[in-house]
Amino acid sequence: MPSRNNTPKGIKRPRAQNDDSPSVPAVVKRRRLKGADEKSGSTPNETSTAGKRVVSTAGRPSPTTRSATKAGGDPWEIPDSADEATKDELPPPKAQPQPNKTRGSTESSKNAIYEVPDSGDELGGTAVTPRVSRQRMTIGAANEAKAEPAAKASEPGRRTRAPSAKQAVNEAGGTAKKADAVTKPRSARKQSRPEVDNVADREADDEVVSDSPTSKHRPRKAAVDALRAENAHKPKGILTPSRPNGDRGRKTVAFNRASAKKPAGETLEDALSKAAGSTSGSVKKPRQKALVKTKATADAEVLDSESAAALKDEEDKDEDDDEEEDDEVCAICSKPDSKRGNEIVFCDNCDLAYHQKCYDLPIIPEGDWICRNCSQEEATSLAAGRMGVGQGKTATVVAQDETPSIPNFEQHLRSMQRVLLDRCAGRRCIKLCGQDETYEKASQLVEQTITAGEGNSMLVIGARGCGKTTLVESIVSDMSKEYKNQFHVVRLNGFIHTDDKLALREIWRQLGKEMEVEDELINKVCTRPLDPKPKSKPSNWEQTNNYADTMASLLALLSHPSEIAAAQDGVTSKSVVFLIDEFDLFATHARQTLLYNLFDIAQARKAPIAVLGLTTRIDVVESLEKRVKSRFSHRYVYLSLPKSLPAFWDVCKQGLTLDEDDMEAWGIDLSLKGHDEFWNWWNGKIEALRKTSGFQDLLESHFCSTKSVSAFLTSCVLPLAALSPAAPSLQIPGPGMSLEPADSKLHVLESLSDLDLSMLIAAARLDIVAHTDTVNFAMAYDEYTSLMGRQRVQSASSGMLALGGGARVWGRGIAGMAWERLVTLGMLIPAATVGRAGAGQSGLDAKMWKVDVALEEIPSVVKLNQVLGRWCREI
Amino acid sequence: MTNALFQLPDELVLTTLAQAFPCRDSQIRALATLLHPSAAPCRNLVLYGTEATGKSAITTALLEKLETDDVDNEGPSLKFAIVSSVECITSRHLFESIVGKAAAALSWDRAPSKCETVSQLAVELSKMLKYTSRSESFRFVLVSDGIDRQREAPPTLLPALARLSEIIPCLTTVFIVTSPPANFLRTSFVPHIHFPNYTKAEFVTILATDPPVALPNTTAQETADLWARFAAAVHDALARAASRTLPSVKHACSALWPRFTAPILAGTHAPREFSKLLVAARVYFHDERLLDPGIVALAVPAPQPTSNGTNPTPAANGTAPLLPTTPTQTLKAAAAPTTDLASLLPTTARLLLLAAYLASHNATRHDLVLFSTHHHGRRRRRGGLSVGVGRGRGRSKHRKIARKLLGAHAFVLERMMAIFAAVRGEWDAKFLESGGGEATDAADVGMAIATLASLRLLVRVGGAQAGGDPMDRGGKWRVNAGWEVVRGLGRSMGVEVEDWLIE
Repeated sequence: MPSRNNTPKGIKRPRAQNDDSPSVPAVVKRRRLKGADEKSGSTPNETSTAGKRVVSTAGRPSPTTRSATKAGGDPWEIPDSADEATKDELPPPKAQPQPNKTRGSTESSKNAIYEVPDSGDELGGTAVTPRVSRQRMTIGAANEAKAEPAAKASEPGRRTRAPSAKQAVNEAGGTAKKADAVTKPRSARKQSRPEVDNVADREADDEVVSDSPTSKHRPRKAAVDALRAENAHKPKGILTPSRPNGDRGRKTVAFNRASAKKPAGETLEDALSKAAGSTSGSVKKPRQKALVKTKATADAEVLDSESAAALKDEEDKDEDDDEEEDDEVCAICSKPDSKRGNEIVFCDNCDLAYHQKCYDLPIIPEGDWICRNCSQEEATSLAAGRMGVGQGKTATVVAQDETPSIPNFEQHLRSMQRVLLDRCAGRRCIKLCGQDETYEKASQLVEQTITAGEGNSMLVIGARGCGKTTLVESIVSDMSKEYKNQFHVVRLNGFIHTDDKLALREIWRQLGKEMEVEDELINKVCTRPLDPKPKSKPSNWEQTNNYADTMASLLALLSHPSEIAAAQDGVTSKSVVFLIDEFDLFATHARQTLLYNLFDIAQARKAPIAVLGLTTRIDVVESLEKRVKSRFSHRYVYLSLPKSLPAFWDVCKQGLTLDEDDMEAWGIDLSLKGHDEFWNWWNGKIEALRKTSGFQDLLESHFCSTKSVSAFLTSCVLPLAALSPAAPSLQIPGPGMSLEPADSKLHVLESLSDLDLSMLIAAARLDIVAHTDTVNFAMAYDEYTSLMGRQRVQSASSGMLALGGGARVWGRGIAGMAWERLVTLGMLIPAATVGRAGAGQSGLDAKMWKVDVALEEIPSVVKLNQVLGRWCREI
Repeated sequence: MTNALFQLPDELVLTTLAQAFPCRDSQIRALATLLHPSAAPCRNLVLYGTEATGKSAITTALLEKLETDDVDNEGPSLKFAIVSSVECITSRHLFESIVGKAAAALSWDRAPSKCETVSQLAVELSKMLKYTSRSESFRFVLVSDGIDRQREAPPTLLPALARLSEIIPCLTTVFIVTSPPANFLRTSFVPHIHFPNYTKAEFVTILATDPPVALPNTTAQETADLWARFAAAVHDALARAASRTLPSVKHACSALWPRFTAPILAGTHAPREFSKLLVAARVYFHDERLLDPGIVALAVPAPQPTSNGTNPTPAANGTAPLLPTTPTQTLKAAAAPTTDLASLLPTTARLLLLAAYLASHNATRHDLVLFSTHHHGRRRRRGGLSVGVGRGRGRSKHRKIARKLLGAHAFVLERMMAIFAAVRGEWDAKFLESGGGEATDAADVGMAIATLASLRLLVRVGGAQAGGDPMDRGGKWRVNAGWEVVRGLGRSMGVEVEDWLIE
């Protein structure tokens, strides 16, 4: 593309070599990369180029020259008649274009081979294709230049869409312009792109026929060819293997002048009357001009440039638009039509197309136009304005409602917040609701152990968050109120005490702590054998190492004094309550030694111990060894989650309000003035809140998904913390951020760049397309490049927009970085075995991975651009 | 506990932090609420988000603020320890650093030297925090940074750490992770704070806080405005497309800025003419090396068409460190010939490497078709088969994956030697001329193999276990050179390797 830079603007692009190649339907659009650069040049140049262009057009009178220019790749001007060109230079006032064109039959025949569809006649004769209907007629002296789509295309950077019909229109416009030219000075440069109905085309054609034989048919194909001027031939092979035939045939048929002409003529009158405002070029043209003028003058923000330059730019723009219209659709409304006053404009940077109205762009700017997205105008305001946001937000929140007039309101509020937040954040237990029976059962068992010296064992089974720990802790605290120093508590956790040795040590330590044994002694016990020989040694206990000694000492300690010291009736030792959290994990320890011994002690009444195992696994007993199981008492209590919404709310309510009897316990000063008023007010608030739909939704969603009380309470933390005397009303769900965990790791997808996503999609596609469950980087990158390649072909042939960065094929290095990022983020999981390639495969390319996300999940989580979305949909 | 009142952390702290870390206001507030001793301190807390979203930085800064903030008033006090898992090689290392840092934070002088297990860790922390009397509202915050990347972590590590705060009431454990699996702490519920990646607007805002020095003959304001728009353009061109992290955006911006502003320095454009500048600098926005700065720039064959010619101005001015444009390119040009494998290896070694590649990437059953001269008197090569088959097949329901993408397969040395012998006559002109003397090249071949092996271009499969003589012709080997390298190598000898591959 850079090579094109130098061509003066006014000059049309070189016509592509293979004119006769089957036309790719007007779909192909030319990208203008170059034009932007050119334009960006200093303004003075533009004026000169403008001048040049006119000259060049003038110099290029006959259609015959075309072929020559094609070959050369020169700026290829539409062969308008010399007359036209000269006339153009004259300043014609705006005038009604006179539809008086005649087409040379000779020329038509000449062109017929490739461009057939272009002629207006054809259009008239053939059924109207949707495409055709969109085309615009360009009127304006400069139209000649424009008129040839090919020419337009040749302009560097310009996008061409050259529908055949359009060309015809353009030609017509050109001729009409000629007539105008006398009166209109500017018309030469100005190009309007009114949308023309077929009718209009036809009419124009007919009239013009006689006038300018040369200009008549523009190869519509030319646009296609022009697509890649350099390698005009290549696209032919790649892009359009199948299409040519159909189109061509149609064209030739349509091209029959004699037949086509007549209908066109007949409809002429209709067209004129009908077309009044929009279709006829003559009407439009003046408007357009006026518009342009105002634009030129009024457009302050645009770079100042000489008026001539400005005009020229406009013209260029118009040309662009003309060319593009055919296939480009507005990025906002996805409609392709472009009418005067609501034309499609293209960004010079990202090539996206927008309707003026959709984009709220009243005036087509001169020179380069860059869409708001690319011009980054909001960036500066963002940068400047961002700082205020935080304060602004809080300010709005603060100004909410009035403080009720309650004495010591702030103090009440703050102390209430303290208590409620402690509960919600899990620092204080909430009361167990609806589990009275269970509580009764368990506490009775513990009490028996403490008071009667029984040995007991029991399992507490329930889902996470259903209150197992709360249950046992409340039992322990209740017991300790009653029987202060008559028992010890040992707490073990399967996650922390990962083997029996550690657990034993911990038991020792905790007992030592509770019994106020010196640390050194414990260490000694743990590290060196202690002398007293335990009598009750499990039969299978043969080791004599450290661990065994610890165990022995422990057993000695736990064993009933009567067994150790033989006799001394009436002395009961202190009982010990073992709370074993994550009980199921202890069942995985080797030989379940600890459990065996504990249960054995409990069952044999060697010592008064109670073993309470807490677990979430309902089948935990099955994992016990037979000898362990036989010593277990098989007493269970089951805790269940709240069974109904009201029950759930009863539990959750504790996070939002306090019972009378709790208050004292939680350190709330009942005697403070205003206490009753405050709590009445607050409870009223909570009741009201309960009735709001947002709150009910939240409650129900927690109830339906997890029934997790703590999850609900956690969602209350931030709203509670946000309360202040100035804004004492609770908002749940609050406006702030949520503390919910992510649903899945798919949230990561939002953070990915387009390339990351492309690689991920490519890899996920391979799962389906190639039916493999593992991929390596080489495969994914190959898929990515081939997708990208197809994408390019499609976008070239369908006129789809290049989607900015989405259209680039990134190099292997960058893609490798993206791949590694996916690995880091856990989207790719190393495949366990490297497969048949054998072990030792190393390097980025060959290592096999599993994709941890399914292809169909991707579009549901993250908003993909068009291209990526298609990759996900179309296998 | 009676008179403890709820109190949010000092607003001043939050606002200064919010300014230091723009676009993270809500996260900072939530975090402060959940950590501050007199607000709503929770037991466990999970911060998650992708890299470079401010998780660790904000946590550290906030905790430092809260700690110092609380020193003066007698009330709630907070201490913290931050342990980064990437610095810990084993889980024992992790435990010991936790204990060590906690002891340092608490000025605890009896920290043990050993701490091997979680249970010991729990004991040690209990000694420091639980059995020592502390004020009612004292909180200790233990931050485990990147704990999901801990090496040799047992599966119970995370749940166990989450249980610490059950054992020690005044402890808050913060987990900083990338993407937490559901319920990975195996506890009922833990508040999560999400640090999402920055949006475009946020990127721009962040970058705008640190505009570059004003360009000559422009005002600081103009420069700042231009910088903001420029940053947004960089984001669109590079960051969103390929590398959406703050560091890479920053790097790309600072690397591009001198080139982008060169027209201003040269006086061709005014700083207000953003669109012209943008169009002029378009080519730079397509430079991949901005995102992928290699250590050695040799592997980048792509010539950057215009970087030298178009604007010499930035180099001349030397206002800012230029990205590797001019200097490296010349360097590269000089370095290329010497580092290119094709020019470094002798002919025999190159041939062997090609033969090894063919042996690795062709199935044995095709050898006859490829290398046999039996039927035709001439070798019949299956030209372009791989291309034809691979591309032309159309997308059937289950595509076959090109063999070359699956990585190198192991082959028996004998086979490689056979291939070498078969292709040598065809590929090596000199060999043909010399009439194919067998005697002279035995040593040559052996040395070439040794050379390739020592360069690790050929790798012995099974290596140590296989034992035996490396020259044993029954040994298994694998080629360790990629497709690009081999193709280049082949072309250096006039061989299209692709013609010799059968899918």
